[in-house]
Amino acid sequence: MSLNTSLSIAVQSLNAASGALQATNNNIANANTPGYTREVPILQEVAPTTEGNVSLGNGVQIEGYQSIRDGLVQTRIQEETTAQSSANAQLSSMQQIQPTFTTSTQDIGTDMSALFTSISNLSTNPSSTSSQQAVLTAGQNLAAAFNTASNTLSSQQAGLNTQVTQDVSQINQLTTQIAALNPQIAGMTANGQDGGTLQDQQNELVLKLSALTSVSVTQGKTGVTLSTGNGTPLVVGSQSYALQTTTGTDGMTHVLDENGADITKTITSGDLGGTIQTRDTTIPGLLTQLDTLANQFGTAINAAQAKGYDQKGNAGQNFFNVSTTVAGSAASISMAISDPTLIASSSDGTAGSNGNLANLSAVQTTALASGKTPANAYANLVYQVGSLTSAANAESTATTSSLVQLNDQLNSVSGVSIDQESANLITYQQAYEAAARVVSTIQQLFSITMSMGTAAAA
Amino acid sequence: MNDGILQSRDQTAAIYLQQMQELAHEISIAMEAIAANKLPRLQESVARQEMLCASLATMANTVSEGFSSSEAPLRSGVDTSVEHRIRAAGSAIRELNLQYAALLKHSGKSIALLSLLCSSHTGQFQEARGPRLKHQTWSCEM
Amino acid sequence: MRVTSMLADIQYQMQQSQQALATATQQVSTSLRVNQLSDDPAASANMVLSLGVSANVDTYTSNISSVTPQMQTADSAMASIVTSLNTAITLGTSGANGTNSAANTQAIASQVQGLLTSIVAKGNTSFQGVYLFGGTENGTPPFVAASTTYTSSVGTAANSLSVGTTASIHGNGTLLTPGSVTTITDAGGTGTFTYTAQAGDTIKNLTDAITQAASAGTVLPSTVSATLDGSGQLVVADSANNLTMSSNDSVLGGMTATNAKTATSTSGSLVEGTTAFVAGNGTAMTAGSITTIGDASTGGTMTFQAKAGDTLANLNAAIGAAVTAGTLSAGTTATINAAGQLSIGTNSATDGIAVNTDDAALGSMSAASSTAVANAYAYVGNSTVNSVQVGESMSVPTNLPGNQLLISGANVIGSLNELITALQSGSATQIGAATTAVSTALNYVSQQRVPLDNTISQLNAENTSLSSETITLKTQQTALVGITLADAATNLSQAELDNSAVLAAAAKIAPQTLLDYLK
Repeated sequence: MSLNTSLSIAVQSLNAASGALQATNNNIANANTPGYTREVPILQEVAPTTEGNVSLGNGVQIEGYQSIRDGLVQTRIQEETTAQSSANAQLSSMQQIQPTFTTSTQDIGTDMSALFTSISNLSTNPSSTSSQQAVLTAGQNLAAAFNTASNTLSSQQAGLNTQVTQDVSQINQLTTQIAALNPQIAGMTANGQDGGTLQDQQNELVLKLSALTSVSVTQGKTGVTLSTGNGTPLVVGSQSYALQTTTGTDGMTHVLDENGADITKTITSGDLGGTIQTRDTTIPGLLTQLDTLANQFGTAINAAQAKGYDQKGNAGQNFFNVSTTVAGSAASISMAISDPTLIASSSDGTAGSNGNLANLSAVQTTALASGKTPANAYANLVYQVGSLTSAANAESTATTSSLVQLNDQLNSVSGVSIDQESANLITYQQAYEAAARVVSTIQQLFSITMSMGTAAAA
Repeated sequence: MNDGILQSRDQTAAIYLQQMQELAHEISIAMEAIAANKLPRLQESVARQEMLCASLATMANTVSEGFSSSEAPLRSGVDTSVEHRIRAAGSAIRELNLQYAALLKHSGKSIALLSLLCSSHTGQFQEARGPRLKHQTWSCEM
Repeated sequence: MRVTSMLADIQYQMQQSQQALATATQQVSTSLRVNQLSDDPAASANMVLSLGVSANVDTYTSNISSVTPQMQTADSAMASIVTSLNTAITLGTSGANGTNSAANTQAIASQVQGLLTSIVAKGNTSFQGVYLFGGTENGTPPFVAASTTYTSSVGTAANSLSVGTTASIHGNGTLLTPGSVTTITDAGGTGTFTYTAQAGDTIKNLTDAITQAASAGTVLPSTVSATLDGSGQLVVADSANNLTMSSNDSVLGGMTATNAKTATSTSGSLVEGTTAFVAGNGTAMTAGSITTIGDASTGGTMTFQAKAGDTLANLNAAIGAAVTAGTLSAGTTATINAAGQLSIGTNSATDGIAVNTDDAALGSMSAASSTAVANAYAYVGNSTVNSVQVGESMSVPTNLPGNQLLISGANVIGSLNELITALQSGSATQIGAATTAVSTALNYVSQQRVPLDNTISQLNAENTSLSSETITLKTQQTALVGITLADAATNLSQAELDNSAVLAAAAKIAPQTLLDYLK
């Protein structure tokens, strides 16, 4: 299909006022340009008309309501764009973190199991060198799994630092461009000229900015005024205010306003906000859990070693090197012994006794200081990571759908009276309320279904 | 005698599965309806969801008794493949419900704001001069 | 209809159906419904726990297959012991019937001796390098032929010296006078080497200091050496340069220049009244080492585990305590002989012991020749029982201590010993009584087999139970995260259909929209 051919047919068949024709031509040419706001042909100078069964009523009122409504929808589009970008930033990070916490391949849970398996195997022949070596290997694998998980989280944070810098740089570029357009647009409007294309450009830039951080938008005589969600100015008239970045004492990239005040914690949405949220809240939370598990597990194993004797009859030494502080435990945990005879399997000092292996095995079934057994603690972590990813995915999908809905609304003409419109909206809200009630019923039903029979291991 | 109970339990489980799958489908339909601004479709879907939930809740006990327990599964248990599918459907519903709830939250905000705009409208709009009526400063009580 | 909104709608639907298609495709290729945690966080968490249980079940199964052959070997050794005992009873019965000649009863005695030997050999059964009846002291045979004297292979110095005795001592141990000063000036070095003796310093400390300075090569050149000669005199010599040495330590008696390059101490052999440091009872034992003494008469076993700082004196004290407690026979003592070796012995020709040690300070313990006690065996294992977990809450003992089997209880070894002695004596009454005792011992051993046989049956039953638990767990795991190929294929077909429908709809809508718009 050739656009030109369609266009020539359209031109010939149209029988409209010159203004309408011009507007329509513009519409066709720009139909697929993002952000192009369709112009509503001016109806106020035209006598009230009837289209189909709908009476347009008071043209001025409809016209005014329509463009204000469009303005509100546009604002919602910005807000949803911000929310979508935030969700996508978080989703992207979580999807990179998720594979480390698998359930069956060289992950912490599997390696903890393997360690206990090797200890139990050793109990059938405590002086067997190969069985002893298997315990050391299993310990080494587990330490490595902790190290890897910790590194994955830390390197995510490092990547997110770079993202923060990039986002801030983009924000500054955009605010500069937006500010430059303000005087031009304001000037044109004052002179009664057509500032439409520039306005559309500016809207598009504001939308791009919304993707990066939440923006508060006010229209005024000097053009558009922008500030962040908590009031840090970004654009006022022809002036743009640049944000800065600096490395904080925590090693993270912080965001500062033009005066150097640290505004990092105030940025809560958009790609920048989602990135900061993941970097400063989500990941540290996971790291703390991981470090706690590593620290408590390593300490428990070491304590069990100390209760027994090694092959030479000496008191058991530390099995793992565990950091004294909880922070960093997962990154630094390592094997403290490499000599197989140092495994403290004996309870009476003889090389043939397996009596102390029961103490080592007991670590599997005894609650750690956190109150959970090691497997439960890991399962908890797995659940958290999965839930965080799932929630980010739901938010991402929902905001995308919401944007589709809003763009639909923006591109449609309401064409009915305000009262009718109001009634429609109320009906919508009732439908939503009913839907929300069903959502919680569905949630309950899901819980019931999943707890049927033996849905889960103890 | 026993067989009669077994059969009806198996049948119930099959119906339970079917209705769970329908429910999952309805949630998808509802989300699409919201995205496409199709109110009547949304209303229909919510009504169907309500019916399905009520039906499922009624059947839940019967089906639950038939699920395999930790003792060696007896002949009287529900067919395990049906059990698997019911759990799979449950899981799908969980995920869809999360998205659905989020969409209702976001979309609901838009609708609520528009609704407030309408109800606060008293004809007091300040219109800019000139052929373009793109942007106006307005406020309304939220 | 607006072009932009239609495209956005189409894009959205296409995204959704492509997502569903990708998910369905992954499910078909992995047979998993849950391919990442977010697909079902709760199921994923439950998988962690279920897989943990599976791993344990596998371990229990493997443990059962490790210990079962071990226990079966022990059981068959015990069966063999029972057979031998039966034969012994038959022999004893025939020996007691009073119709045998002296030669006959001697011959029967020999046969019984043979049975005793083979029973002891069964007591020393090993399986993959582990002695099954030694308790946890199972690295060496637990039943050892008893002798009256055992001696260590490593010698330590004599532990007492009398006035006037010239003892060849480790001269290096000679204590220096605290505060004494010894100096060396060497033409090949710079400055003066000075050594001031501290309390507790020996000649060895002095010679070490000289050697260190020489290897450093500054104060003393590397050509300097310090040694003790055959008379116990300290000799410091430089192969290349002249040196002078002096000392005010009376232990050395002053240094004299043998030649320009050599200085020798005046004192060499021990002078009465000099305090010498000797090793002996003071010899340090290796921390963690275990020394075991079994007594054939009492049937008891003493185990000594050395701690850091323990010396032979502690071992001796423990032996004394064991004698008082009756574990070892009265009169069992430990002494250090002239060659400095530790010697443990009984004071009766008929009481026998066996000693086992893993302490390098002692080397190995061996019976002094011609001190063997006939038909006597001592137990150098211990009484500890290992147990192995073979189920969630099921552990089984995996060994039977040999002393429990052959010594305490009905004393198999002791009763056979008695029978041999009785046969050798020829007294029918004695032989009869001894045979009855062996009979009692046989019943006892048979009884000992019962718990072992029970355990072996338990293991078999547990194995079966674990197999079915494995199936249950796998089923549970599939239920949690798996999907049957049939279902996955169905999902995939459905997703493909949906996707085609969306694409077809998109194809129809896109070109039409513009024309509709322009009407």
